Order: sequence, then structure tokens, then C-alpha cells
Amino acid sequence: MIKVALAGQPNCGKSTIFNLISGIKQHIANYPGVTVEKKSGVFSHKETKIEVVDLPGTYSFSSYSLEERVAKEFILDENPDVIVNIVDASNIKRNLYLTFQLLEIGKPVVVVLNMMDVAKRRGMEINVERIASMLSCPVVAASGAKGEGKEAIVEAILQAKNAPYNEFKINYEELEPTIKEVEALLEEDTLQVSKRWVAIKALEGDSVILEKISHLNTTIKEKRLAFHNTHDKDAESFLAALRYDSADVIYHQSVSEKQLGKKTVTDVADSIVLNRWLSFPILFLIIFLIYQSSIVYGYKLTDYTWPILAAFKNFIIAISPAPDFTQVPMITDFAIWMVNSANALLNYIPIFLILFALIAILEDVGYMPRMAFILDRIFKKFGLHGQSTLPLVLGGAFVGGCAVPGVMATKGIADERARMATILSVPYMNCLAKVPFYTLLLGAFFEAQMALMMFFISTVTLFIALIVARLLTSTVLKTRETSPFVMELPPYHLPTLKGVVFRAIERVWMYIKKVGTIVLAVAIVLFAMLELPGLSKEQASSYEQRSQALLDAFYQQTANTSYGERLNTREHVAELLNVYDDYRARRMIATPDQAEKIDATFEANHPFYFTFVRPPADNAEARAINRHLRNLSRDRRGILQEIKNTKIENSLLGHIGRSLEPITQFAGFDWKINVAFLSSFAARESAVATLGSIYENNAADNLRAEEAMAQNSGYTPLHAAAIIIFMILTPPCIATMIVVKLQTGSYRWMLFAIFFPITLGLIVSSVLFTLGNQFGWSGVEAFALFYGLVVAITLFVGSLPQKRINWSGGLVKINLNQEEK
Amino acid sequence: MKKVIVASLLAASSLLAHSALMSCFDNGDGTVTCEGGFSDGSSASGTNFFVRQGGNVLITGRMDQHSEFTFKKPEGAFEAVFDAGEGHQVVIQGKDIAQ
Repeated sequence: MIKVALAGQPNCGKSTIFNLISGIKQHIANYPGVTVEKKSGVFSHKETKIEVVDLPGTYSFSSYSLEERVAKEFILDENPDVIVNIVDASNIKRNLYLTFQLLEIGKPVVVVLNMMDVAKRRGMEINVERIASMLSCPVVAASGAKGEGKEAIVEAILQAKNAPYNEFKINYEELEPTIKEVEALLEEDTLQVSKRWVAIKALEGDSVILEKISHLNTTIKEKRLAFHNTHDKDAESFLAALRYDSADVIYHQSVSEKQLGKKTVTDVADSIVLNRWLSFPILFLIIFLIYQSSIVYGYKLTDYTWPILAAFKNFIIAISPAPDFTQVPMITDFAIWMVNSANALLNYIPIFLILFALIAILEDVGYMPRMAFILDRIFKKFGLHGQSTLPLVLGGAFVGGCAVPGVMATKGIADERARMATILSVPYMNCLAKVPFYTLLLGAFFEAQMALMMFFISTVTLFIALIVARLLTSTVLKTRETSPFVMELPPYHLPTLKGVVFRAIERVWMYIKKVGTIVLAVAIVLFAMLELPGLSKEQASSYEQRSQALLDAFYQQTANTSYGERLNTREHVAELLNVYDDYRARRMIATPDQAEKIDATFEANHPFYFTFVRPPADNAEARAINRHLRNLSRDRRGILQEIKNTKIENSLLGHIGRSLEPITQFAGFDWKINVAFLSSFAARESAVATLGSIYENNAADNLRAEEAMAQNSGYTPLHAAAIIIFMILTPPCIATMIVVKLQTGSYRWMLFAIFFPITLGLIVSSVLFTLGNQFGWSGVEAFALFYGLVVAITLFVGSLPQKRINWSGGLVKINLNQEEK
Repeated sequence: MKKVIVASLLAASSLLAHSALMSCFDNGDGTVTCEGGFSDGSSASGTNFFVRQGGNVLITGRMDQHSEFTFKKPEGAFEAVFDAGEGHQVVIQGKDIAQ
């Protein structure tokens, strides 16, 4: 087996080459302990197994960024046989900077000149043999996007594995004596790489290498200092300068450009896309299109995928133990709960497929860094990054979105502090699933001012997210690194269909795999918190009595019919009800054609019961029983709902809700609201239902949930305003928190993302509610005040200066096509 | 301008993260019961429901707490409409409601 490490700078087409040579059998994991993706693939060539590991894209091979550390640690710890260095042929000079460092490692290196087609189009003539002889390593010309070069690359890998390593040396002039001294010190060292490379890296102050040779750290420190004192130069910048010079030498000896000075397509496109007046409209158009296609059309697609999930749920219900009238086995409850939790997440898949495909296209095209470039000026003021745009939009910047894809989209943000700030502020955006909740409260308490309130709610969220981002970046995230990178605007590329589809599916699969496992764990804990300790003995027997009364009434209603004898035991009636409910659940998601099939299946499986589920027109008795059955089913559902509410009241979560009352009373929340909030966080679709059922008085009247709430709760619009503000500030759902865990890589940040907003929400709504009571504000007045305050704070905070740690420069646009004067 | 923003926000607010569902059954006693719901399991309780014939709305009301609405079956062709807002209407033809 040959172990191959694939290294290259960002935008060199590394993933295309990776896909080209390793085929579809890929494995994605994380590098141990960090959230950097590790892709690997195994394939066979001429009976030799070859494993390819895709290292993260890095500009150099120092330890400035997490990616660089990870890449270097892989080389040191996993000892690959061959390093394949992908080089953007249209950008040779800059790419060689990394190549030199790879050649020095002391492992066989194969250089792949990728994007030869692009170079050719630009009028560059590259002398591949000349480069090979100057670097003294094999050089292969390829074009990943066109699928050219696979054979040659694989051949070169096989040969490189067996060929002796040709030492590659750059003459580091004044530093050479020091390098030799350090090398001599390493005599006893067992690192499986070139000693010269270790010496050079150590002199550069590379933290990964220094960790490996910690016994020499003081000596090396002295040598670095000595070099600095003698030559008045830092070793690292001295080395960098020599590498750039060497790259320049190779470039001039092997490349000739014919169209120098001519405007490239990229230049022309950039003059439009980055135009002072056009950049924002174009950006908004693109964001709008992404939003429209992924969130809006994605949701439309779920209309087609949802029945599959519903069928899955029906299947699970069918194989779980059947309920005995109002006695539902806990295992059945549990199974349904788990399926609901899983389905809630799986329902996002169509949205993610579209979203990830579009993001892959934008990445391939090269628009992502340009977007960041355009918006960075504004976001910088709030500690965010230009690249925060997309996550915030997906989270619901326009009209309502979803925090789950929003948080997922933070992955590409290079600036660590801004990435964390984005992850933690996206959940404040306007989540679509919160909207029914707002509608309920607005309908109950603000019917006249609904439009105004909706406008407030929709727009206040972005301001809040910005303030929170700024707050976090100047406090808890203050010491987080901001990356010392220069924004690169690579030439535009045409995306390949294969690459886009590949990456979209790959990311969705990862989402399913990771979120799936965590969500199931969290769902189990929540189930226990909602379910235990369950009903008390008295409550259980009281419900049982009511159930029995319903059954007795049903027996009586059917006693005088010719079916009476077969419908007078609990067992039979329970079974009949289960068939009836199952039938209705299936009919609900069926198209007219499927409906007929369902009828036929049920009739075949339950010929006797089906008579009452769907009574024949000429059978008056069956019709009457059907009517009674319908009522019985309704009453049963009523009791089940009551049992559920009682269980919630008794549950751990219910107790937490009660115990929070002393604190939440300042915001005007009683324990019922607390429980509704707590359980809605567990399963958001129940938010409205929980509140509705808590405030329902009796089954008899036909009040809407809104009306019932307005009449029965004793709340004022001020209460409602406080509740809405709290809802705006609280995290949308468990799924969001789980992706927060995924993206931050820690449960502590997840807990922070849960409790910080809740505390903030509680404080804000308490202050508003208490002051509002004091001064007799109406709900709308209180909310308008809140809105005004938030906008004012945003403007104020935005005007404060904020500095970026480790990064003194602003954004610099490097025009890659004109770097050779 | 402001009106446009408010209007578009309102339109968007009905763009919920689920799709509306409804099934209707003829009870055989001259009444029809329609049950509404949403794909994510949300209750349809309180959602608008009406029955129309030609251009006339014959019966109008809201889904009860069990997400159901029962009405007297009109003579002739009719449509039962579950109206959960823009883009979330489910229409079932009277003739498709099985006995």
C-alpha cells in the first residue's frame, strides 16, 4: 500500500485532482481533535493499493493557521510515502512557495501542474521538463477540470515511491551556517523526515516542529536571536524572501507569457462584479437567488420528500406495540418521539442539497472571496467577516430562514473569531418555525397592529445579531485568533458538474451522519425529561375511569346492532380504533390513486373492522357505528392530549418550568409559559399546540387558540410583547444547537449558545415588562421602544473602532494576473 | 415604499416551513368531515376552512381543536378548501370525497 498526501494552495484545483485520481470511494472524517475535514480515498492501480489523503489547502507550510498545523502534523505523524503537490499552472510563481517547503521535507514529491488549459488560454508556455530538472522531482502536466492527467499522475506516484529521494536544496545564504549547526544537534533524532527541513522549520519558530524537539527549544531560541542580532533580520522573513526569489528564478526560466498586459476575462468580470456601484446590487441579487432556490424551492421540494418520511413514521408506528385505547406503551411513545426527531432533521435534506450545490458553484466560480471582499467593510465593525454574509442570510436576514443551514454555512469562514461570532449570532436571525408562534400571539393581542409588529419582529433580528456579534467579539471571543491572511481573489473558473454534485452530496451525507448520531442522543435525554416520572397513581386511575366510561358508552351504542357481540371488549375496540387511526393517517398523505390502493389493502387485512372504518352506503348500522367510532377516536385523542399535558406538568421539564417561575415572573411568564418555551425548544412544532392546549378551557367551545388565549390567560398585550421579545432572543431549536456543537467542536460552546441567549432574553424582557408595568406602556409602545433601542445600539456599536488581533492590514486585493510586472 | 416592505413581510410570514394537508370523508349521514394538518405535525386547529360552490362560499369556519371541520353536504358539485394562507391552500373536490 502506498500512502499519498495531497498538498496544495487554496484554489489550485486540489479537490478536482483528488476526485480525478481516487474516484468515488471516498472517506470523510475530521482530523483528530479539530474540525478540519480529512478526506481520503483508496484505489488500486496495477495490483498496488494507493491511499490518497487530501491535506487542507495551505499557502505555506508554517504553523500560522489550523490547516497548516494539521497538514504538517499529518506528514510528521503518519509518514506518507509520497507527497503530491498540486500547482496551479496559471499561477506558478505563487504556488512554488509551498512546493519548495514540501521538497525540503525529504519525502519523494510529485508536482502536478494543474489547470494547464487555463494557462494555455492565458497564453502561457510552460517548459515542464525544465521545471522538473530545476526542482529535481517528477512534474506532471494535468487538467483536473477536463479530466486529463490521471494516468500520468498515478504512474508518477508509483515510480516516485521506488525512486531514491533527490535532495532539493535552496541556498539560504547567511542562514546556512546556523541551519548546519541545528542539523548537527538533531543527530540523535528519529523523525522520519529530512533533518535539514526540521532545522529550517525550527529556526522559523514553527510551533509543531518545536513541540517535537522540545529538548532543543532553548538552544534554537538563542540561535534565532543570534541570527537576528548579527544580520538584523528575522529568520522567518529572511527565509520567505529567499523562497520568493527562488520561485521567481524558476518562473523566468521555464515560463514565457505571450499575452502579458492583456485584460483577462477575470479582469473584465471583476470590473463589473467589484464595481463601486454595481457590487452591492449584484451581491443582493445573488444572495436573493440562493435564498429563493434553497429555502423557498427547497421547502417546496419537501412537499415531495415529506411523504417518504411520513411513510417511514407510519411504518415505525405499525411495528411498535399497538396502544390499548388510552394506554400507550412507553416504547411506542418513545419510537414515535425518536422518528419525529429524526424526521425533523431529515426534512432539511432537499434544502441542503440545493444549498450545498449552490455554495459549491459559488466556491468553484470564485465568487465567495469576492462577496467577502465587498461586505467585509460593514461586518468588520461588528467583529464579523465578509464571509459571514451567507450564513446570516440563510439564517433569515430577509424574511425568515433556518439557522441550521445558516450555521452549517459558517464552515468556510477563515477568520476564527469571526467564524465563532457568526455561529453564535446566526441563531438570532428570524427562524421560519418561530413565525406561527408570533402569528398566534399577534393574532391574540395585536390584531390591529399586526403589520407593524411583524415588521418590527422581522427586522429587529439582524440588528440583534450584529450587536451580539460585537458584544461577543469584544468579550468572550476577544482572545480568539483572527487570521493573518490576505484575501485572495482567484481567477474565475467554470464549475464542473461532477465536482458540484460530488461536494453537495458529500456534505449532505456528513450532515446526516453527524447530526443523526447527536440528535438521537439528545432526543433520548429530552424524552426522559418530558416523560418521567409520568402520571401519579390518582391521575392514572382518573384517566382510566374516563377512558372506561367512553368505552362503556361505545359498547352501549353498539350493543343493539348485529355487530354488538364482536365490539364489546376493550381489546376489540382498541384494535378497531388503531385500524381506524392508522387508516386516517395513511389517507392523509395519499393522492387519490394511492387512496384507492390503501382502501383495498385495509379491506383485505381487516375485513371486519373496515366495515366501520369505511361503511358501505347501504349498511345503516355500520354507518351509525362509524359515527360513534369517529366520536370515540376524537374523545380518545382528547384524553391522550390531556395525559400528555399532565405528564409535561409532572415531568422534570415541568418542574424546571415551575422552579423558574420566581425568576421569570419579572418578565411576566408564569410556569405554563415556561413549560411551553421549554418543550417548544425540544420540539418546535409543539410550541403553538402546547400553548393552545394549556389555555384551552373546555372541549365544547370552538374558540381559536388565539381567542382562547386572549380570554383565558389573563395576559395583557404587555405580557405578549415580553413573550415575543424572549422568543426572538431564544435559540430556535435543538437541531440548531446540535449544528452549533458540530461547527464549534465543543459542547461548552453549545451550552453557551443555549444559555447566553436565554439569559439575555430573560433580562431584556424582564426589564421591559417591569418598566412597562411601572409606566403603563401598552404592548406596542413597549415593543417600539425596544426596537428603537436596538437600532440605536447597533448604530452606536457600529461606529466604535475595533481592532483585529494578529491582523494589522485591511483587505488587499491581489490581482493575480498582473503580479509579474 | 414602506407599505411594500410591510406587505412583502406579511406575505413571507405565511411562508411557513411546512405544507398543508387535508383529507375529507363522507360520513354517510349527509355530513362530511374534513381533517386538516401540516407536514411537520403542527395542529391545524384554528385554521380557516370553507366550502364553495361555483363562485359562492356556502359555509365558512375554522378547524376545531382536533383540526376537524364537519359540515352538511351541499347538493351538487362543491369544493372543500383548507385555507392556511397564501400558497398553503388545499382544495378537495366534492366528487373525490369517498363514501
